[in-house]
Amino acid sequence: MLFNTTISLFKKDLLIEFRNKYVIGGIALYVLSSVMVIFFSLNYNESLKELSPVIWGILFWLIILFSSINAIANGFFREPEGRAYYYYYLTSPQAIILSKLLYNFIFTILLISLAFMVFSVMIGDPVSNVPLFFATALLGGTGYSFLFTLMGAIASRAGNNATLVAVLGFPIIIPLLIFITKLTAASIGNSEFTNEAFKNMALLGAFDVMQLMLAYVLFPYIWRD
Amino acid sequence: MIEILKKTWWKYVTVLILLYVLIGGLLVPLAPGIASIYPINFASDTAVEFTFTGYNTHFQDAKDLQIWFKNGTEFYCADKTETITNEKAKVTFSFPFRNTQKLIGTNFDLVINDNQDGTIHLGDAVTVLPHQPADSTTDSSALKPSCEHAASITKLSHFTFPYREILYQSIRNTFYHVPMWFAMMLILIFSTVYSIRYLNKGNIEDDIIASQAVNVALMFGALGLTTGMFWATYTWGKPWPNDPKLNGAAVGVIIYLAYIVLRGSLTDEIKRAKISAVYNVFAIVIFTLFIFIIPRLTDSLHPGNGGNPAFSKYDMDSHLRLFFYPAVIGWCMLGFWVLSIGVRIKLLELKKSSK
Repeated sequence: MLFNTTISLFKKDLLIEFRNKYVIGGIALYVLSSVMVIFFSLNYNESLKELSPVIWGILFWLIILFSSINAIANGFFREPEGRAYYYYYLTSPQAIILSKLLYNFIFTILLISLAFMVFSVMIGDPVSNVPLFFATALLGGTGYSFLFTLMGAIASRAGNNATLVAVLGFPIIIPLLIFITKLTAASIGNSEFTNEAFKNMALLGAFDVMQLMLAYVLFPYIWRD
Repeated sequence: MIEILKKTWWKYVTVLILLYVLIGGLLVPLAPGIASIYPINFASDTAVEFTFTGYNTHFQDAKDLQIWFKNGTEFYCADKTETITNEKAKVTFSFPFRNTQKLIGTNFDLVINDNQDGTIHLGDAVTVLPHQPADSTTDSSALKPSCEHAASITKLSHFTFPYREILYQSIRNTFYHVPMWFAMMLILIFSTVYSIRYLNKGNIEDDIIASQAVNVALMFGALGLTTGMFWATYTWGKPWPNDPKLNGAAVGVIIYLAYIVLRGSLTDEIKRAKISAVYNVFAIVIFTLFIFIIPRLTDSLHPGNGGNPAFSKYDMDSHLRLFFYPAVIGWCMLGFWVLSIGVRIKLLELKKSSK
């Protein structure tokens, strides 16, 4: 029951997204132009060649951070206020939050893929351990999307204040960013899976699971007025 | 809970405990110790005159002043001892060549014993360098090998705090800096409990308690950071060394500042209570992660991390504990006192506005 509702809500979100193609286009353009900004600011300082792989990883994840905060946090703002009441009668809050989490997860993974393509074309691709980078992207994307979904939900109740998402989300994203940048550095440096990398991956996974549980438990309280 | 907070008797107890901590913590002297020794290394087979400075010591007033160098389990006696002042003494000391060959490159501890200061000790005080014939000033056959550790170790007679290198007098900050974090953590947990209670029962009083508790916890966080920065300047050389526990605490404080911003951006009372309670539950989980888990994964300057002992025998002795535990209890109680005032003001405002 919950599963079916979640899937149909997810399909509804997808449909809305495809009807307003400008949102996807906007985010894609956001990623593209952010990479362009980095590319030109590095290129015209003659420092593109000196870009260290670790800094590459940090720049990459910061681009993802800013574009996903724009993409996800606005996900809760997009639908008109009145429709929320309609959903309230129609479904359970658990189904709503799960569909949002699923949708935002897929959206973030697409965002990461896009950003990675643009990055590797324009700035270069130093990744040597592709499976580790892939796992990092998957776990990190999950963490980003789950965190900003819940923060977006909180901020949407506080009068659609876009600054609020950043204020609430950024301090909390830091532990996630620590694990992600460590893992990215590990995937650039050598092509082996170290114990350290497994430990960081386990912690990142635990962080994701914890956020999923918190979102699932806490969302019903935010949902109702 | 509010009824207990309104009672007066425990506030007198708080004042008494904190007075005890403040007065006792500042007045108890430090134990005697050895501050420095010069020179810090010497060649074997020579007689060297060391000058060392004590701290709070009574070299001149004391009887039976005995000085040894200790290597492993062996004690080496000084040849000649000369006291200059109560806190300065000279000692001439030498090793026979045949005896020091195996000791070259090793460190010696300095151990001093007298009837007033007890036994004091400076770890790894001097290093033995290889023998250089040109330096040789004594006949090696005349030198004594290791000597008997003759005198019985005297126990220190008066009440003192331990003397620790690097820390010195700043060891008293244990009664201020450390309890601040204990109080902050306790009050944050208290706040979370009331947030959960609000989410379950919807009683606006619980929300007032939770939000005021965050304010008080932030006050303790600011004090903890300030006292910590003073301490770090003195012991680690700068106010903000790159330490994971420090960075974690700063982020923790920012997470709770965001809580205040969130409350400020919501005008509707019920909505504000509900949403800030949800964020509060979320925040305590992340805060715990920051304070307790991430610092343990990396090395830290703080005791208890990266292999450093926490409240073990080394850091805390029974005299410190005698003030430390009351300090923790006292500052926590002071926190609840401040909290009760804030809550009562807010409750009165609520009463006034609902009339």
